[in-house]
Amino acid sequence: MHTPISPVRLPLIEGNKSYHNITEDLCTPTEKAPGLAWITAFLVSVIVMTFGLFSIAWTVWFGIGSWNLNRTIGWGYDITNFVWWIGIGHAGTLISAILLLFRQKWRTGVNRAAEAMTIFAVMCAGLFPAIHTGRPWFDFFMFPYPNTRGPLWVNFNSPLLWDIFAISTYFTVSLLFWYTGLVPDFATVRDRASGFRKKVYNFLSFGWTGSAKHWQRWESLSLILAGLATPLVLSVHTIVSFDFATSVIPGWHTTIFPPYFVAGAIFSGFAMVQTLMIMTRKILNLEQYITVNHIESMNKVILLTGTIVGVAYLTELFIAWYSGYIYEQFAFFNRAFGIYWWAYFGMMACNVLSPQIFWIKKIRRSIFWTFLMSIFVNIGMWFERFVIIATTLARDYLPSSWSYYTPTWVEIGIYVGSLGIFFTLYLAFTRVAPVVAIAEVKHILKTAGDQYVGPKAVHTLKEEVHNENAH
Amino acid sequence: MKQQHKEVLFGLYNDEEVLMKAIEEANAQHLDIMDVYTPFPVHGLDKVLHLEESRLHIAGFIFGSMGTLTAFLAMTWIFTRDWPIIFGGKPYWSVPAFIPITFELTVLFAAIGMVVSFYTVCGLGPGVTNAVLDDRISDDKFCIAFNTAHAQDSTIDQLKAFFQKTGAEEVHTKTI
Amino acid sequence: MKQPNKEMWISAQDLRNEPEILEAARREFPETSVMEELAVDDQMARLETSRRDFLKFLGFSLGAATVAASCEIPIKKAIPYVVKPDAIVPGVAAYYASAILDGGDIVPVLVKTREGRPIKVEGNALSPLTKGGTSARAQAAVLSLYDTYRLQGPGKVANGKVTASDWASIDKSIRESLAAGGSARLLSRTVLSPSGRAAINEFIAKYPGTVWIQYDPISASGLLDAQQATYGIRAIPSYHFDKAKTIVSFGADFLGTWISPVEYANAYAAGRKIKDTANAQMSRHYQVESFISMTGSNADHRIIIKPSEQGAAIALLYNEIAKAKGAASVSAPEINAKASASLKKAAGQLVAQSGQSLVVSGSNNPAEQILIVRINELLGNVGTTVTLNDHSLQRQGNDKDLKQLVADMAGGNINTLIVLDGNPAFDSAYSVAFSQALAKVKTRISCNINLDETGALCDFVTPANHNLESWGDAQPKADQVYLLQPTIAPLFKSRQWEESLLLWAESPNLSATSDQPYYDYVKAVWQREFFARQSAFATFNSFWDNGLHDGVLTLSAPSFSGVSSVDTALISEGISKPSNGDEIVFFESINMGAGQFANNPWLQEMPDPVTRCVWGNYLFVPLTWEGGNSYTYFKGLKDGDIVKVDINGVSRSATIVHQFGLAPGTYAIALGYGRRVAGTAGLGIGTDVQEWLSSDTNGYATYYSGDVTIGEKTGSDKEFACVQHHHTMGVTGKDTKSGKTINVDEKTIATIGEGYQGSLVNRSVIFQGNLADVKQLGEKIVRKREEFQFLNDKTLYPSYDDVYAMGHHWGMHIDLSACIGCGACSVACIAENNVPVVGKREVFRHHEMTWLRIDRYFYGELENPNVVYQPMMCQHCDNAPCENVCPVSATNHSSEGLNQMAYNRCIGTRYCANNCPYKVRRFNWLDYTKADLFPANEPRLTNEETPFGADNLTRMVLNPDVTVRSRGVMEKCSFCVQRIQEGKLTAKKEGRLLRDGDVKSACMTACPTGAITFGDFNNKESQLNKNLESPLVYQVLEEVNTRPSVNYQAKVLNRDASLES
Repeated sequence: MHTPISPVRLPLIEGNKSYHNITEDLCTPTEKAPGLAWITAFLVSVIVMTFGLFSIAWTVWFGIGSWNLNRTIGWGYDITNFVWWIGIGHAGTLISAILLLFRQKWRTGVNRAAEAMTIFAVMCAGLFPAIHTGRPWFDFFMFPYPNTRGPLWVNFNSPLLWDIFAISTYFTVSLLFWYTGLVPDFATVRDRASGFRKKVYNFLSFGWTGSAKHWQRWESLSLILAGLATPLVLSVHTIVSFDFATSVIPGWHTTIFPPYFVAGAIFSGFAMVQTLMIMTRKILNLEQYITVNHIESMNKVILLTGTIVGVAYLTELFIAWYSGYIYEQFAFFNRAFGIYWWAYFGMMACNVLSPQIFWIKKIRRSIFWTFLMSIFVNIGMWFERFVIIATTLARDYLPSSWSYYTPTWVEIGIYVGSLGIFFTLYLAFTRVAPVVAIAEVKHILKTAGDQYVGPKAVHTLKEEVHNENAH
Repeated sequence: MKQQHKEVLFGLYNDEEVLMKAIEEANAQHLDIMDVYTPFPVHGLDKVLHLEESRLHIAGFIFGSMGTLTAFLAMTWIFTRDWPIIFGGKPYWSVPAFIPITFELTVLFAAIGMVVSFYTVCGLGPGVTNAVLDDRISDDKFCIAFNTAHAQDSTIDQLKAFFQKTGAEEVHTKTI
Repeated sequence: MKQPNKEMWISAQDLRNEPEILEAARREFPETSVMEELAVDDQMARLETSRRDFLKFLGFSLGAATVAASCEIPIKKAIPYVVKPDAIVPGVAAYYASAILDGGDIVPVLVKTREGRPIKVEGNALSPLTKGGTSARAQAAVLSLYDTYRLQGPGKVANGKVTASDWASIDKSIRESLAAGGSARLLSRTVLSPSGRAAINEFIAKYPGTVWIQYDPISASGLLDAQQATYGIRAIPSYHFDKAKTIVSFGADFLGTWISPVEYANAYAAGRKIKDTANAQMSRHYQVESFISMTGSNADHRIIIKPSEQGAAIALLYNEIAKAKGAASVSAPEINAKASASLKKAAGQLVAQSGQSLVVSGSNNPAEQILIVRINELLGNVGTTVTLNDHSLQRQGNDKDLKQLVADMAGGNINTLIVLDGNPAFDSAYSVAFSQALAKVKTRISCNINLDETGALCDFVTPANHNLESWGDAQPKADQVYLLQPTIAPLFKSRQWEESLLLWAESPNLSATSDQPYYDYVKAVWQREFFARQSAFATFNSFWDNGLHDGVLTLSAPSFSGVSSVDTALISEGISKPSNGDEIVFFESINMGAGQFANNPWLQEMPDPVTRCVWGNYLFVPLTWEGGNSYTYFKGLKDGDIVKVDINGVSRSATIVHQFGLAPGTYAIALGYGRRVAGTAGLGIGTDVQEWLSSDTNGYATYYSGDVTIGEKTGSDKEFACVQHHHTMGVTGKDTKSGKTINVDEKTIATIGEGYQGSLVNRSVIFQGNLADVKQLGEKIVRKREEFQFLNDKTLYPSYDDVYAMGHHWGMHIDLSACIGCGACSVACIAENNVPVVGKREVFRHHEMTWLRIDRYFYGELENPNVVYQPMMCQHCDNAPCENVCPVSATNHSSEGLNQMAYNRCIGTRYCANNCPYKVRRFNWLDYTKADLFPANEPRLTNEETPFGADNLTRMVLNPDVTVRSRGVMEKCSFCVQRIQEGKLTAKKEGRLLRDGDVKSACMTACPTGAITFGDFNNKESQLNKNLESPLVYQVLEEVNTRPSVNYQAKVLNRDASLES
């Protein structure tokens, strides 16, 4: 089912690739020894990760008291990071699922990497609820299972429990989706490999043959999974936002949170994809598959979601004022002008103002600016969560209990460590699996290859394609 | 799929367009195609091969509904029958609070169920090894395969001629 | 078991008084001291080597933790009684009537013992003195009993070091030195004990020439001598604050520390509670002082004067009244205009209510005190609010005697000095001189239970028993005698000083055969002194048993008559003269006293009512505001900065904290801190200000100094431990820009920007008003509550009203007008519920664990605000936000309306604490109790040698009915669920319904003013429901629809409109 392609649409695969070229280009990273850039990046990540693990051990050993949280501010870096990572974890599934449903061809260039990113980000996110508890060795209490403590069950009213379900579901589904996409590509790698690697990839490829029937089922599976993943991806951050929205604390108890959180999630997710893609395409020289066109499309999404988030911020303020509820009014007044005003303005600057430069096409297509902005947005979104969590708790109902919070080295260590874990996993992934979905790229070659579409296209062939598409 | 070794005669094509035409030709000649192998999903292939619609979505629906029921009934039973506790003045059977988990389990069951069924019906899975006719099929070759286990020479010639006609790059026989 | 006249006890307490209990107690703790029996906690050894090095951490992983979690907790051996003492029933508490005695301070109590361990004190409701009220100090006494720093037996002291010895040899050498002749001196704080006096007299009889000197760390000599001069009796009159319609106090902190605070607080509150708003009655209280004392914080009007102006202020008031009453006036120097204007108003009020008013003063200047006496006489208060026949004996010290003693000692003509009680080398106004003079005394003996500054300078320490280990009696008032009985055998080889004295005097009256010699002695004294003076009991034994049971004996008050006039000219000479220049006040803090409680972590960690600071004394410096966006801080210093303070050439550094309501150029700092010889808890905590104390020409200690210079900032306290920062409920000041009066604090909570008026004062946290318009206040509250109800009815869910209507539904009522912020409830809560002590650094990090805190809010005018105290504990909301969010159902609701915690189910997500609008949930951030399954590792993080309470001795204070929470677990007020269960069980055993008052929370029983009422909503007759009828009752944050079970009654003041500036 080829979709008609307008001649004006720009090519998504450059360099006049043949099917074989594609195989070559995309498989080689898994075959040849890593370059210096990769090795350095990997070493750095591992070191940072180690420090993170050390900080976690410290926390578990001494207790949460090794963090600077207090009787008033029960959550700080821990949950801020959790929400931040979960947000980042949204782009992958969004790209592969929603863009698949919308038939956005440009997704094929980035969906594989984006999904991988999702999975690793969700792992990092899951880490924080696990270690933020006072007695992490009892975390298994959070799962509903028949037990010897009498009919002792979990509390299904608790948003935190909803989180457990939402995140584990999201993780599982993303993983299945991602791996099912990987199977044919593993087969490709397998058929090029020999000896032990062949055995390994044969195992990974589940014995894929490329039979027509399998492809048919494979496609319908992808389609339905995409259909399922779409509401799922929206639900996950909605539920995360329930952690706050269902509470009674002014500044948390806000009905706008679900859409606002989802938009924010997509926003930060795409930013992180940009960060990764720009590095990946350089290191694994995939510029011809992850093209400036891809980057521009994603920048458009960032611009859109960034603006949505901005509108949400303003709506919050308006509603707080309009509600006539002094606690709410004070909470938001305090966000902007209270002790944590710098966090609020950091958030505003990075999330609302700076993305506006993407209205300019030149900047939208500039690698440098895109990279810079992607970092900005990630910082801004981190600030957003910090503002929502710390600022709100620091100044709630009873002035007698107001307090202030600054992290200890342990908390910072764990945060940085989670970045280490994330990049370690991602870098490892780039060596074992094709970073771009081979089969899918081949599939769109004739509709998006630069020898078929765009300025460099050879006319006759294009005609052919058109006729082909006619029926 | 348990099968004793069989003779396979297969031709490799370079382009899916050519492949499609070849299949139409084969249909015209009423040749019994064993299977077609491609490096990526070629749209329209299922039509020319007259493959019937996949029924995975039905499985998905069934599994999904199972998830819905499991979640909702379990929570209802636990909070109203097994061990009712008062939480924050909510009724034991606080339905709105059950919605998120119910939804998540629906998705989870559906997804897992479908993926498992997919690999089962395709006979794929960890450790499964299927014979590969040609390593380049997963690269850039499109392959039509005929089972010639008990075929007379005449048929084999006819098939060879067919490959000639439809412009197969290579023609091989293989025992799998 | 028999429960004599139990009906008297509204609470279901078993009172037992069989003498054999003591036998039993002794069998449980045999003569060999308990510490020798207790195995040393093996964890302690490991503390030093607790995991330090990096690699171990690296190796350590969550997995390991999980393994550790699955490990078994080591089994602890429990050894049963061989012969069970019949008075001890495991699991059942036994109560003994006794009293907590601290010098002249007395709090009659019932001591709760479990398995022979005293673990808690309850006020003795039979006492006409305190009517069942207690103080924070009394509540904390049980902890001092188990103080690891206590001297474990007699010993010889050489340059501050104690070498243990045995009684025989010590007694021998003491007798020898006494026999050697030369004059001996006995020094003690006020001794209330008739038996003790008898013992002292026997000693003096044995060693003629011996002189007994009494002194009070916080001296009342001036007051006593004034009574001597006017009434010819050196005793303190009984002040009846309940009868007074107008109260004027010149710097007397009578609710917190002055003479008999529990008694006064109880009476004071009686005159302050609003029964019904229709015709509300309430006393008016003027406090004339230089800094906000706890009493001042409760006053309707604080009249601010400089400390040196006090004499003049009293004189001014006297003259005003004299004018009205046509008496001779005295020459009175000028004082600041504002104060004199206010005082004139006050005088008018006093005259108008002659006979129903009361004027008191904390001054230690006899001339000023004589004026006070005259004032009360002129007002005709004597006989009504001031009575002398039932005079109080709670202060008997004499500064002149002490001065004389120091002189004699310095003169080298004292052979033996026995310090029976008290720590004069630290806590007296003559501490420095005394310490130096002590060197000249040949034999020096200290009987204090701890090694303190005095003991360190002595030759022998002969430690006395702790109060709760001692027999004794006390006569705080002419018509009241209290009996003290031991509730546990001495933990150490100590001996109460009375017994020591008698032994040293080789008294024939101390039977050598008896194993409780002093018990027999006291008994004999009572037979001699008091049995005759009563008629209720025919035989002495029944009289004695009753005494043991009730703990109190009321005697017919001796009659008193006659007044001698005094030459007023002489007075005007005596009163202190105002001086200009900076001045500093030294005051007694409610928790530390004169320093005798330094070793008690409960009191160290009890926040000061006004500053809310803990673990130290802080220099109060004035705070002003000149519009703009922030307060004008003193010398631009911030709270917690350390400055040099120079007073009469002695320089010390002190940590400052800004305070409202200080007279300009006036500072204040608490006495009793900066102990030089004390246990780990008290050593060097805070600034030692004792050296700064001076005395006037007549030898009277003065508690302020006119020669003070506050130096520049020298540093800042990195662990400035204050549980509540500036936050107010709208202190008003003039905005320079707009010129109109605005809520100052609300402008300053914004780091940038204009502030947000109304964001604090409009919160439904505190409702307060003035007596004049109390009706309107009631209507306002009712109206607001209707609004809230209207909103709350929009709820999505049906409520559980039908469920709660069955059985019990526990609730509480707190009268903010009656709450004086004394903190007795919060210490009682700590004792009852095993709440851990966390130490200064942890409090600085806002990790304090108190289940019941007393929030303090300022309101009114900036220079001189009023204060409202709000006891805040778990509100046991019926729609508890915390319950919904706990993922593991660790906190949920009982059918009796209790919000309950399952500690061992809690995994510590802290979500509940975040979602608590009242912020009353407390998280075990670290292993504060050593109940953790990892080795203790706090020293590393809290800079303490061992976490407090880690040792087996201190653990004896734990309440076995309450779980000790481990690290990583959330905890909070449980409405004393263990007491609820006990009450229900008793009722069940007695086959009756639970009566109102059967169950009382620890905070309720501790409260000296009866501000807290706990009860059952479903019991229509309950006091709780009666209190709830008042229109002044509201719930905190009712509009959030948490449906709290704790109800507050609005704070009402009785301000004089004409005094409003």
